[in-house]
Amino acid sequence: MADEVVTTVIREKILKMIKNEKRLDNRNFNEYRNIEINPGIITSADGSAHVSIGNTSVIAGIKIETGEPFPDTPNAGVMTTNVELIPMASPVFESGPPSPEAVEIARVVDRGIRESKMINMEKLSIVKGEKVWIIYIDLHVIDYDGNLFDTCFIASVVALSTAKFPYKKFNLEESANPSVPVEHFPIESTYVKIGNSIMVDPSLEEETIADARLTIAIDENSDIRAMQKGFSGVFKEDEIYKIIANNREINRSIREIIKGKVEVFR
Amino acid sequence: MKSDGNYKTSQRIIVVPGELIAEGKLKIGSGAYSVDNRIYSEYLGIKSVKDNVVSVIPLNGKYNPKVGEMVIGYVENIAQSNWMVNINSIYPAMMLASDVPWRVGSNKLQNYIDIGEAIIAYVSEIDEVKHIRITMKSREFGRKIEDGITMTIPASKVPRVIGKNGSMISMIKDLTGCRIIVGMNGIIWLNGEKDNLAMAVNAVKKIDKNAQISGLTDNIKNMIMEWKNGISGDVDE
Repeated sequence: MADEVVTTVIREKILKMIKNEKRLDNRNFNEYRNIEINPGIITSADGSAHVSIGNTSVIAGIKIETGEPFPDTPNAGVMTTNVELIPMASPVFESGPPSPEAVEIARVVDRGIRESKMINMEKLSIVKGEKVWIIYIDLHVIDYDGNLFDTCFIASVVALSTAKFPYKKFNLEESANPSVPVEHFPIESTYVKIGNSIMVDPSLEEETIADARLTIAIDENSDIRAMQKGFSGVFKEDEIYKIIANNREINRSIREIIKGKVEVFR
Repeated sequence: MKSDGNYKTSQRIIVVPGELIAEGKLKIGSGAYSVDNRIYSEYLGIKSVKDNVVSVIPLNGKYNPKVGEMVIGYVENIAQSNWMVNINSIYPAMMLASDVPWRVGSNKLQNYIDIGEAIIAYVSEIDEVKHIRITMKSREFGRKIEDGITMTIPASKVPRVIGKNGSMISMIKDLTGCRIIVGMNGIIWLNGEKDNLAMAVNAVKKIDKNAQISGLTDNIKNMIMEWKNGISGDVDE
């Protein structure tokens, strides 16, 4: 990500087009690229999804195990998120321990899900204080063309909402509804600021030349649940209010797409 | 042992790495290797037999440089006396300060070509371990790119973008009025007026996506003509 180079002619073209309220791929500032969602593509996982936004593509896998709860939250289950930026996805990704970028994506996705109370963690308890469900969210980036935050987040949300508890595997009594208790439906959107213009769903080129980045997670009532600011540039106060107001409109259509896919699969 | 299970898309046969593609006295082209007189594929790609030569054209992949080919690249790094240029190959190419048409003082390389700037150059030398050297000197195309845009497609699809005897590329140039230079490495430079440029970019993207389809030139021509008619129709209203 830090090593990505954009040719100067492309940079100039982007800056020139932005003045006419246009983007390199003919989108307008409030438009996402084509979103494709395929839930349940890994049959051996407890929940999974393949999500692509434009050419960026991510596979999410959910693994559910039983284990001991943390001592400070004896009645709540455990959830961990992990992102793998493998060299196959982009020449700038290196193999080895997780890079700061991978850790940031994992943390932002985790925070969006946790703070929106998407999963009722109390319902993950099996025997109070002794045994709980532990949910692992593993995100594998297959192809990187910008905006990994939103792609990873949508993949996690879809995979979680189609995940089922593996009762049989752990010799537990089967319940009538084996689905993971999903109570809210958060969506994350990433905006970048280039010059004085703000646009949603940055492509790789836009992300590379951007001055500042803002990720917002909102729930189905349009309440803000989490935020993350990135890069060295700054947002003015009124710019952030404008993003928040815009975000509600943009997310409405995306939420419909995702919900439709999830309901069909269930 | 006969190679069954070939997937046919019109007349082109798609083969996988290690698949037996021919037996007997045939010459081995690129993308193929032989064991005990049997010829196997090296890539996931399309098998082709021409003049007793069997080769496999990969469906996707990085540029495999050859001496003398024209490439378009952009500078990724600058050292004391050389530029490292991304030419869509697995390794970056090196261009020495003496390989440019200007007299360049040491430590001032960025004044001539800075990081991110694109150039048109020729591959001048490749050694056994694939160290690539490119040069902008003493050839007709060696120059710096100052305007227009660049786009990248897999190098294996360059022949489709050019077409037979340049039919595809000259058709796109004629219909859109854009100036286009296709580097053999899959980086393409385009320049033209706003909407025409966008159309040319769309055409190249469509070729990249549908490279295995036959009759692509007519397909692309129809697409551009439809778009052109659409525009003139809008003006009439």
